[in-house]
Amino acid sequence: MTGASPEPGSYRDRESRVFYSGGEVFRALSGEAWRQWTALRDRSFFRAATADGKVVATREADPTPPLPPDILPTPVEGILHHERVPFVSYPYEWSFRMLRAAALLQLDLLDAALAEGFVLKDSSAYNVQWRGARPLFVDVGSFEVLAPGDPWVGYLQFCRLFLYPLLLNAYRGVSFQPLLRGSLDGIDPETASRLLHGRDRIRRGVPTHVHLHARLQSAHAADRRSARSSVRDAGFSAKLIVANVRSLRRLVESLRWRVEASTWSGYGTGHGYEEAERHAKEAFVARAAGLSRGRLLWDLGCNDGHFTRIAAGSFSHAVAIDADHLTIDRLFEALEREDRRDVLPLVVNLVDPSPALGWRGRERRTLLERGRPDLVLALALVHHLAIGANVPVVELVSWLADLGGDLVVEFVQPSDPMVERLLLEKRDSYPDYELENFRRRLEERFDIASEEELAGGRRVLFHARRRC
Amino acid sequence: MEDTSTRRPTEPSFVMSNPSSVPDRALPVAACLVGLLAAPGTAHAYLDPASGSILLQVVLGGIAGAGLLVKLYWHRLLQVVGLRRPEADDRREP
Repeated sequence: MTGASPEPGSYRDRESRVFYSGGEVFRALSGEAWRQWTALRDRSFFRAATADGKVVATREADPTPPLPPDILPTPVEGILHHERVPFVSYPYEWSFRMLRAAALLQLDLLDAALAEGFVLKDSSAYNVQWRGARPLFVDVGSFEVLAPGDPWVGYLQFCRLFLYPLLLNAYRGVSFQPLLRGSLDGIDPETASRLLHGRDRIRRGVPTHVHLHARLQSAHAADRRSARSSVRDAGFSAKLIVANVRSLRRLVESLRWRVEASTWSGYGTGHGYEEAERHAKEAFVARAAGLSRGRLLWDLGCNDGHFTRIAAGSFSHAVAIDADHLTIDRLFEALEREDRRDVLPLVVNLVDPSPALGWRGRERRTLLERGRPDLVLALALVHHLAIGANVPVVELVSWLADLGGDLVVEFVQPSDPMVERLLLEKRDSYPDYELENFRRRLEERFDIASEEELAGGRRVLFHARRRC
Repeated sequence: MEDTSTRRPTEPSFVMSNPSSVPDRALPVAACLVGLLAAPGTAHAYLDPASGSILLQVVLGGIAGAGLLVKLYWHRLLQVVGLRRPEADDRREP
C-alpha cells in the first residue's frame, strides 16, 4: 500500500489524473500533459485567473508524494499539488443561477485562454466547484495549446452539460437537476431538440445550438473523413471559436428562469414564531454552534439560509441544503451578492438524496462520502420527513446520528398548526411522532446537551452531542 | 409559472465587441441554409459523435465562418441548384 488513492471520477483524461495522498489533492501528469503545464504555468491569463480565485490554486508538488499504482496508462512525468475544495458538489445539485455562473466562468476562461493560444480541451460542468457562492475551475489539466486549425472540441460537451439544461430551465421552466442526475453526460442535442419545441424553436440560441446541432450530428455521424481535418483544410481558425464563445456568453447571460413562487420559496424561516421566540431560537442555534464548532456545518432544510448564516461563523465552511430549487436559487443569489465564500447552497431532496453514480458507481459520490459534518442543523424539518415522507421516527434519528456530527434539531409537536396542515390529507397514523418517543430515540444515539421549549411548548429545540 | 408574454424570440445585439462576430439573429438564417444542405443520414453511435458539432462551429464562427461554410458545402450547393450531379458518397463528406 502506498497510502495514495486515485480519484474515481477522474479517469477520463488519459493524460492527467487526480489522486489523494495524506489528505492532500494531487494531479499526476503524463509527458504530454507536463509539456502543456510548463507552457501554461507562466501565461498571464492563467496567473490572473488563479490570482482572482477563478482557477484552483496549483503548484508543482515538492516533495512529490507516492503515486497510486497504474495511475495513468503512460509514465508519469510530473505531479501538481492542488488546493482542496471545501465541499465537492455536482451540477445536479446546483440551482439555475449556479449552473449559469459556472457556464459563464467556463466561457470567460476559454475566451482568455484563446487570446494566448490556449483552449480548454473539455467543457465538463463537473470541472467547476465552489468556494461558497463563487465558482472555481478545478481541472487545470484541461488547458492545452490550441493546434492551428483545430476547432473547440469541448463545444458539444458545453451544450450537453451547460447550455441545454439552462435553455430547458429558462424557456420551458423545467428544472434540470433530475435530467443531469439521470445522465452524467448531460442532454444530447437530439433530446434537447425534441424537448424544445413549438415557439421555443425560434427562441434565441435554439435554432442553431439545438436544432441545427442535432441535424448536423445525425447527418454527419457516418462521415468517413474526420470533420476536424475537413475544417482545418478549409482554413478554420481560433477567430471562429472566439466568435462562438462570445455569442454563447451573451446568450447564457441573457437566460432567466422566470418563476414567481414555489412551495417553499415564500416560506421564510420565521414561520410559526413570534418575534421574541424567533430571537430565542437564534440564540439557541448560535450557542450550540459555538459549542460544536468545527470544519463543516450542514443546514438541512435551510430555506432562506437565516440559521445557516447564524451558525456559519463557528465553522470553516457550511453547506445549506434544501429540496426546493427556487429557494436555493434565491439563496444563491443573496449569497453571491454578499460575496460569501463560506456557504455553499445545494438542491438536495433528503428522502431522495444524490446517489453514487457513474463508472462502477464511484465516479460521483453520495453526499456523506464527500465530507462528514461536525454539526447538523435540522430546524423545522423532522415533521416533513416523519409525516410528509412517512419516515419512522426511529429511522429518522438513526439517520441523523449516522451523519456523524452533533445535532441541533427542532421537534414540532403534533398540535402545531404546521403539523396539523401536513396531517390534513393523511390517512396514516403517526403514534411514534410524539415528543417523548423522539427524545428517547435521541438519547439512544446522542447525549442531549440542552433542550428548550418555544412557541408555548409547541416546538422543542435540542442540542444533541455525538457519542465518540 | 414562467411568464413568456413579454419575451422576444431573439434579442437584437447592436454592440459588436468583436469584428468577427455577427448579430445573433443572423445565425438562424445560416442555420436554415446549412439545414437544407445537411441531408440527414443514419446515426451510428459507435462513430465519432462530434463531427456535426465541429461543422456547426463553422456556422457559429461569425463572418470568418461564412467563407469556410461556402468552401465546405460548395459541392452540395452545386447539387442543390442542379449544376452538379450527386455522387454516391457526397452525402457522407462534409
